[in-house]
Amino acid sequence: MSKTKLPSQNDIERELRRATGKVVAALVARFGDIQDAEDAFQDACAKALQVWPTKGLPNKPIAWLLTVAQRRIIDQRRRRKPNDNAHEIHQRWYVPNQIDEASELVPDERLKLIFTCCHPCLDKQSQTALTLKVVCGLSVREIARAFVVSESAMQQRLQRAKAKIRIAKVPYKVPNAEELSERLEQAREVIYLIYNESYSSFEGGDLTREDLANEARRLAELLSALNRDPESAGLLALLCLNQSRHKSRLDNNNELVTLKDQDRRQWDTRLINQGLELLNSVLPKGLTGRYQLQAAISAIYAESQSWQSTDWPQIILLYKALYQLEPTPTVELNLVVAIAHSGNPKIALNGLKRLQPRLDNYQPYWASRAAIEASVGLKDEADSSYEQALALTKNQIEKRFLESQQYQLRDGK
Amino acid sequence: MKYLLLIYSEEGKDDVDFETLISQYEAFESELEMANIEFSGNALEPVTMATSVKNRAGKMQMTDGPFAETKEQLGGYYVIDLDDIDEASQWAAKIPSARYGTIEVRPIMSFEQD
Repeated sequence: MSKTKLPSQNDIERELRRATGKVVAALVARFGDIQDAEDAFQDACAKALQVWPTKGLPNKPIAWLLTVAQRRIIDQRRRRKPNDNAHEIHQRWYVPNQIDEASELVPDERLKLIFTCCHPCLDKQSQTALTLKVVCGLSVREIARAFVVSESAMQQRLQRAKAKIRIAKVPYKVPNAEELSERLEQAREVIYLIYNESYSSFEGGDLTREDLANEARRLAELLSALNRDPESAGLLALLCLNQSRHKSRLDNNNELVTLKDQDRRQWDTRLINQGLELLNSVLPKGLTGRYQLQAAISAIYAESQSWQSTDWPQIILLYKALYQLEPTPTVELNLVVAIAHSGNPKIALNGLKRLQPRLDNYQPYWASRAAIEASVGLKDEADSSYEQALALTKNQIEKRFLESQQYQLRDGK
Repeated sequence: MKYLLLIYSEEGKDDVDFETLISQYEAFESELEMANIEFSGNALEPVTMATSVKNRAGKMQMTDGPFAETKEQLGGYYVIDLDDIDEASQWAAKIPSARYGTIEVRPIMSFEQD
């Protein structure tokens, strides 16, 4: 134990969250059950919260937690199986301190856990919730809030998912070559959903949200390292490029700043470069997947010196290619918005009207429509579109942003 | 680990004639045998031949059919011994009726302490 500086409650909580996926994955690898692993990890965390504030952080917090959690499971199994020779169980289950923290506990263990949590025999929301809980260490309350359901409903959903994994025997392994590509796609989807969660709900607890974005990026990194396929690299590139603008999305007063008005000097060049490098590495094979295409679009923004010099024709082409792969109204909305920015707001408005029946309850639709209507002087129409957007907004920061846009519109009347 | 594979499809809506279907099922079963997998199973007479039975207060009650609203009916089943859900699903997908029907994969409850 290093006794030089005692950790704060925040330090400890951050350390515990960072450790979750690695420790739980190692425990599942060794003991085979997610619920047992989670319970044991919770106990180890409780112990850490008792001990660390006065004794300081251990040199290897992950190894410390793993050792404590393992002991708990061994004790518990010994109690469950009183007839077994205790020594034998000890031999079988207890592998003390063979934890090489420098190697970050072998990333493959976490990867197996991701594939188990993202198993297609679970519904998509359970997959996402379970990954957030088990791999990323979010609390049930946080996940419940993300999905806008009650805490008890989320608790039930998670318990059902874990019971199904145990009872139907969902394997804890990297899928075989035959299934791998489809399973990777499913895992990518879950990681992307996690990232979107971090991106869209930045009310309160900023640090936590940024952790979530980082966690999604680490998951993407693991995936991409395992398989080296272009689409996993594409997902990682997309997350790097989008996250590079994270800090400039809010100004000093915590107000939303759109891409157009962001201070580009604040963008994280390290993340931009990482994203561009990844994208360049897959380019020779052609952009074939939806994450690669979205990363390419994000890269154009990242490389533009200013909003005015953005290469809109290129963005339009990429959105059209994306629409071929993913013909959804939201992709079409992005295409239409890009058309408006390229200097054709009238064509865009026709497209928007066509889209209305399918996106009537989609906040970004009305927010985009309002901005485009305002840009061509359709003040009344823009005003009522802002009303629609506001009625669909739950996020306080977005609400203030839309209100200020609407105020400016009315003021300029 | 035992799984029950329940074969659901629309009755009379097989995508090949009956003889062809039977020979496809035979081929499926010999593939299971070749892989040394323990299994058992049966085809069922149509749901119009079904009877529902209850025991209420010691009195047996019988009604014709279940005649559920669902389009797909239970037409047969296998019980199959495999390691995990992935293996069970892979075999389920090879059942000829999976092409046009649905196979429900249910773990069989184990009462042994593990």
